[in-house]
Amino acid sequence: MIDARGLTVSYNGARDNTPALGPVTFSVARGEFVSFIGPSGCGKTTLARTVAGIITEFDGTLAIGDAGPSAVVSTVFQDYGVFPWKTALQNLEFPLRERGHSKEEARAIAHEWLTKLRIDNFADFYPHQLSGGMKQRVSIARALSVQPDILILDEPFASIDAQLREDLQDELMALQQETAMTTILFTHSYDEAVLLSDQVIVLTARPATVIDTIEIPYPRPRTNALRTDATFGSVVNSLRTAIRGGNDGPR
Amino acid sequence: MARAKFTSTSLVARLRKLGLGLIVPAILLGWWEIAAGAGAINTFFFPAPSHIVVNGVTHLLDGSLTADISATLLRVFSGIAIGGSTGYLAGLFTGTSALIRALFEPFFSAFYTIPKIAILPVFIFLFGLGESPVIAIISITVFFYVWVYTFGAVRGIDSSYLDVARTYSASRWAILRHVIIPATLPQVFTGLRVAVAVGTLITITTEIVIGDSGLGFVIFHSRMIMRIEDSYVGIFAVSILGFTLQRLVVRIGRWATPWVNAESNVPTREFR
Repeated sequence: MIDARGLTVSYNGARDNTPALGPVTFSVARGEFVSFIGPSGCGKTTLARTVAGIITEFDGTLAIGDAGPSAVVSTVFQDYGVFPWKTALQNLEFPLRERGHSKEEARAIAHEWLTKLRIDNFADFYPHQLSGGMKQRVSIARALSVQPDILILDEPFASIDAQLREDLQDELMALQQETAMTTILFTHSYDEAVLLSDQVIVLTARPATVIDTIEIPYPRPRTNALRTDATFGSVVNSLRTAIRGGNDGPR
Repeated sequence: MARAKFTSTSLVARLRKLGLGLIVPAILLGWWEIAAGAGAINTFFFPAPSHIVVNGVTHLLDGSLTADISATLLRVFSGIAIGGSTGYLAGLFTGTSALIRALFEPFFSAFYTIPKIAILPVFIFLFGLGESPVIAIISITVFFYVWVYTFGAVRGIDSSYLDVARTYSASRWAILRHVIIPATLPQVFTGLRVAVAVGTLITITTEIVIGDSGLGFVIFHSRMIMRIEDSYVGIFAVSILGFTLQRLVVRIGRWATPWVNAESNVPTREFR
């Protein structure tokens, strides 16, 4: 579904010409949930933006989707990315209309997804009237409503408090399993990565390269009961060890 | 949010704000009135405010002041319509296209700083006498203010909004309509407010220099014929006019950008 080989991104005008990212090589199968984890500033957001098609200049190859360039990619970013000038409903309607749905269809689908994320009561509210958690629900509802081939989440829950974060993680888990959507998550949280992913790809410090790929052994469908599973803590710990080992040692 | 504005507490807050705004002018006018009444100042050059108001009302009733106000207003509105619309489009174009920006931005920036009254003779030469050079100079003044604010707003759009629109493969037109235009609207209205104030200013100045009607003409001509109290009527009328026009722009701006929490002193409920 996603196949990156020697993917390297350099920013134009960077004086020393060191790349911001890469080279990274990885592949993600259809329906798979893959997390990227690595130290702050390692280039995760650059990788997210490249896979999302926002950054278009890079070295190496990046093949996305069997559908090729027409693959539908949705993104959810840490800073929500919801348009302040559109109500929750209008935020969802905009991409749906861009994807060719009629006005009525777009409205119906938008309400359906707002309902799924339990914010339909706030459909006509502007983002400034919503809390951070609700804004992120709008962002997730918008991303999922277009039925993307690929969902990219860049630290989506980083600025949300712990309680709410768990709720949203549970909801994301359920929705991803229901839709079997190929999902890439960029995160700092070991728990989050273990809970949600089939595979965790560990990145080094900037410029990020892949140092390890860890299979998460839990079968699907999962539920939030996994959090309290006796083995959960040790899996999280082994992930932590892998990352620490990789990043503390000489590069 | 809009609904919260009409609660009793916010009405009190609004009245309080209005009252506070009246204190400073009331004190100044009060001192002036007392000083004029006590003969402490020369009432020929500084007629009592009450006298000016009475005089103004007389001119309102005989229609002469209304005629001058409408002459000035017509010029201001024409200038805003012409300069505002072209300035806005220029702002969008220079903001979004690197080529147009490279071509025009240095020229506009250089032109922006020229006091437009300085090139009035050029406009008279170009457009002849009458209304045309006046409207032209007001329009061009408004143009640059609206342009500079719109341009700045377009250049300053948070790129994450554009990224979101692009990942949803929105067309250029859709990005303009759904992202660039609404994202810049609050700042465009700020620019328009400044443009209205400066536009009124340049209208009055132009009327003083070449006018035969309008409030600027009233201010200047009355002084020439030693009717100082009429000159003050013009000055009072201009300040009320400028204030009203700015308030109007702010109101329209609030209506057009309901997502902006303009009145920060009105408590807005946040839902969690």
